[in-house]
Amino acid sequence: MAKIVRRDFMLTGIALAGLAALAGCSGEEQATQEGLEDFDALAALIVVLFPHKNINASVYEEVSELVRAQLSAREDWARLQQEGRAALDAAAGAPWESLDAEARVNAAEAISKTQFFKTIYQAALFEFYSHPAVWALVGYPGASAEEGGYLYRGFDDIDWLPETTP
Amino acid sequence: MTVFAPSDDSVVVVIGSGAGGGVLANELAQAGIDVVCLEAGGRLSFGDIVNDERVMDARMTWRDQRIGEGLLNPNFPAWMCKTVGGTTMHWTATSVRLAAHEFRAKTTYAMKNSSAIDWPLTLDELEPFYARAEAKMGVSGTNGLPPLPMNNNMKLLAAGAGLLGYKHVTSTGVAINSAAYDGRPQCQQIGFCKSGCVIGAKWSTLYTEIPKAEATGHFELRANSMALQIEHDDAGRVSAVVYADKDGAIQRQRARAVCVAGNAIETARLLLNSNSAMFPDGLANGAGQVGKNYLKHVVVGALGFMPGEVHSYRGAQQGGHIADEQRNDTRRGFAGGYQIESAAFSPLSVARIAFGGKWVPELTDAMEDYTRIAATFITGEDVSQSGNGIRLHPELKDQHGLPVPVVHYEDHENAAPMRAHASNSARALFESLGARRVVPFKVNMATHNLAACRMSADPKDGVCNRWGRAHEIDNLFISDGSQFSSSGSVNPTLTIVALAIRQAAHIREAMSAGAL
Repeated sequence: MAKIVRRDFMLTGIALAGLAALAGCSGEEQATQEGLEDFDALAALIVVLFPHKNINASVYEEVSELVRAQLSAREDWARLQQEGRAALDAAAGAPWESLDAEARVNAAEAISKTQFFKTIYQAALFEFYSHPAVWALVGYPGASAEEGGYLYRGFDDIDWLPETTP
Repeated sequence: MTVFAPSDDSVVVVIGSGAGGGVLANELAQAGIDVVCLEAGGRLSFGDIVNDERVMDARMTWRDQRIGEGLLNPNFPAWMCKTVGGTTMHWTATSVRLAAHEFRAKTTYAMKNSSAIDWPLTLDELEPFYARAEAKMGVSGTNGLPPLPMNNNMKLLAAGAGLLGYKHVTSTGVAINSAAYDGRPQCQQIGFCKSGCVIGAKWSTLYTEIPKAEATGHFELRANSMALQIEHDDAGRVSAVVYADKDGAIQRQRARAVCVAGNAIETARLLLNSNSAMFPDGLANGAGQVGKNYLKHVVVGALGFMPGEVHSYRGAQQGGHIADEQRNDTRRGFAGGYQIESAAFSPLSVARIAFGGKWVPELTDAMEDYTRIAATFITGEDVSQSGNGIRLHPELKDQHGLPVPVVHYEDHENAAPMRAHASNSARALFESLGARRVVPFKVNMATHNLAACRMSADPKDGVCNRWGRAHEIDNLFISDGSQFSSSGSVNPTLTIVALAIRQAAHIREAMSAGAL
């Protein structure tokens, strides 16, 4: 775990700073409408979950917004956020965002059995690995019909297999 | 467009438009028999089918509430489609005949703690209908069609199979056009088979059986029509189907005969929900067998992280298989056999299934190896247990006010050793080609839903006879995978289609003879 964390230290900081600005509005709205605090560290938590090296911080922010949109339909979303916020801070022994990257991972791990964490994880996994920027990173081109499929574009171009006769 | 009156009691009502219902309805219509086909889902056109897993999942997946128990996901026990064409929209088109021994599950396997029976029919009897099914569907390697060209992932499986000494490695047995066939184009190796084929190279009833049936003038499709209850007359013969139309209004179509092909869970549920004073436990359930003995195959997947590029997403998602392990050989430590099939997964699918949806530090590294992932999907014989099945929830109701189905499934003791053997086979295959890492994974989600209204020689053992005709009600038919007596190891669609063709011939003959 530590190995993965270190390489993403910078990214985590960037994503968090970006998010603080971005999520401020929605947090205020939530507070006005429902009198509840929004969980504004979502993008930073998603960085901890999927710490890819070469992903722009803005992607984590976009994914966090998609997760928020997906989960805001849940009746228990406000309660989950409150509980998650409290659990994360308790595990951190301080406001979670004030920790360094490795300590953030440890705190996240400490709450990984909670409903909050599982809910966020499933939603974030779904949105993150559906994101075009993440597809580009892993080398998945997505839709191919418009390009005529792969019949003439390498569907059988594998060239390193041994000759065998089944 | 042909329209039948709700009061017309000369029509056969077919419930479902997939591999069972769509084929049966067309076969009947071709013979001049009037058919009303009720399909719970809507009708897509080619313009609606796109290379987007999430969009197509939303357009096609059956999302009505269901409860899973045992090993199943509590909220989503089975994946099937609610759309015209049913699960033929989502399927990966592997079309292989059951082996002779797989028709004799009880005799061949002699398992303990099992409710297995033999099929009341043999491979010899079904073979002519398999041949007609293959011709209908354009199965590669039959009817002058060449094998499907092997894509990278299948070439890799074939190379590994060669190193392991497997002999039966093939890209025949795929209902995807290896050449233009039946007015449909050759496969362009697009991928996204599970999201619906955008060019119609993969067989689906949506653009084959359904329009062909419509052209006869003997067929009316009613999409967005959810069957709620089958009614019967004082003599105990079925007489009408009550359904909710696209606006939720309740309609009643009278019927000469009713054929149920709702994919095992909905088929059993509909019979159970059709209880009456005469049939207090539901239709055709005098022996208490409706919903019992549910089978879904023993399924294992494996990813191999290979030393070179594979790009397994390119081309047909299941373009071939290895059949050597289909045999019954108890020296392997289990009864029955399994098929090793080519597979391909999107990044989202890899992330979700390969690591069980869990937070693991190796996920990000694995995902960055995506283009070097090879994949296999293995289906094996499932052993019948009377406790596995479908029942009605005592309180929960769906949007139509009907009890929600509860699906219960536990592994038979035969499953774990089979799964271990299959995982080892996949591991050996990938490692023979230098895999740096192999990740086997268990799949509990059911996509092959079988046998919950099975055919049996003895009416005490099942719901219907060797023609899929209910033991208790002679104008009620089971017309989908529910009628399987056992699962076999192969993907079930080809057998569902063969049984539907055979059942249509039986219905036609019975009607001609004045016996229906």
